[in-house]
Amino acid sequence: MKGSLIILGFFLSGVLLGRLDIIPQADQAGDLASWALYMLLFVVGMGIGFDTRSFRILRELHVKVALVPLFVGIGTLGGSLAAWALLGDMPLRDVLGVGAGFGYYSLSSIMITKMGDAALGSMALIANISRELVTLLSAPLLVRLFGGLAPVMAGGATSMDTSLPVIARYAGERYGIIAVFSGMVLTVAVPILVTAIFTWM
Amino acid sequence: MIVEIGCIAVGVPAGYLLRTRPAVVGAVDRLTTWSIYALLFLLGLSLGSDDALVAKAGDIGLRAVVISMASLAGSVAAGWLLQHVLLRGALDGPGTVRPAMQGTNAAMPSPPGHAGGHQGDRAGDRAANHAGDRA
Repeated sequence: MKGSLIILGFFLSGVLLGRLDIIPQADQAGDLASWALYMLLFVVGMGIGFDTRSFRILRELHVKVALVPLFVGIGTLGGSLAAWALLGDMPLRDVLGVGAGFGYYSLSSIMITKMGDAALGSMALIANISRELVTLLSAPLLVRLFGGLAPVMAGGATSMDTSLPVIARYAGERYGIIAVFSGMVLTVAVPILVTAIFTWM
Repeated sequence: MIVEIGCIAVGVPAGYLLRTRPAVVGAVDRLTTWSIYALLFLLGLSLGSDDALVAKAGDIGLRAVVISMASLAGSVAAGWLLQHVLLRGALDGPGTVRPAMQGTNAAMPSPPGHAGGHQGDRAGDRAANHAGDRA
């Protein structure tokens, strides 16, 4: 929660400075952004390599747990298709790309900015931050209405870190473990899916 | 786009090999955080300096909320389908907080791997809530 607010603060101060025209070469930041993105992807990869929890969880729990992140993907795809139909005038590629962030707003918005444009990247930032925020706020309600798996599904990639505490508290420790596994798989899936969507669609 | 995936693909084994070095882990953590700050600041900058985009900010935000809420609802629906139709509660197993925590549920047996026992699931979930409230 605090982390997302800090990130939102950096984004908004960028908007403000851009508005004020203080920085003259704002549009020449592209090259710098490319290198920063490559470095970010490399360190994100290292972070994934540090963490060996998912292998252990898969060994300890039933293999069926592997279906959880798959169904988050299927549900997000279905929801994105519905949003595409509802919005009417957006390319399917853009809607799917924004949805495929699974709440991982930092990486997805940065990648989409590079492969799409700043408008779409900003949309991905707001969409995925709100997915995380709504998961945090509605976790108790989701558990009561749809069972312990619901906040894990809602959290998407964030269920391994930011939304893990509320999941463990309201759905129980076992769903907390499932959440870590699902979140890790989806975290790895985000850059691959976003790249695939913007390359082949 | 090969470059993007390549950066991650090189990072994973590097991270795996260096995972026991606290200095490396700490440095990677800080680098990740600050490159995200920098990149989102730059994204804000390119949005803010583009008058056409600023004019569309409300529209962008509205679309974002529509996509995210539809994705969230779709995922919750898919999860409900998975748990209650496909697996029939198989994800609730040993390790869940037992209903014994709650007085009224203490007498209700909740064997692990119960088939189609949705009542049992809910009781377990409720008990987990109350246990959480007390903690």
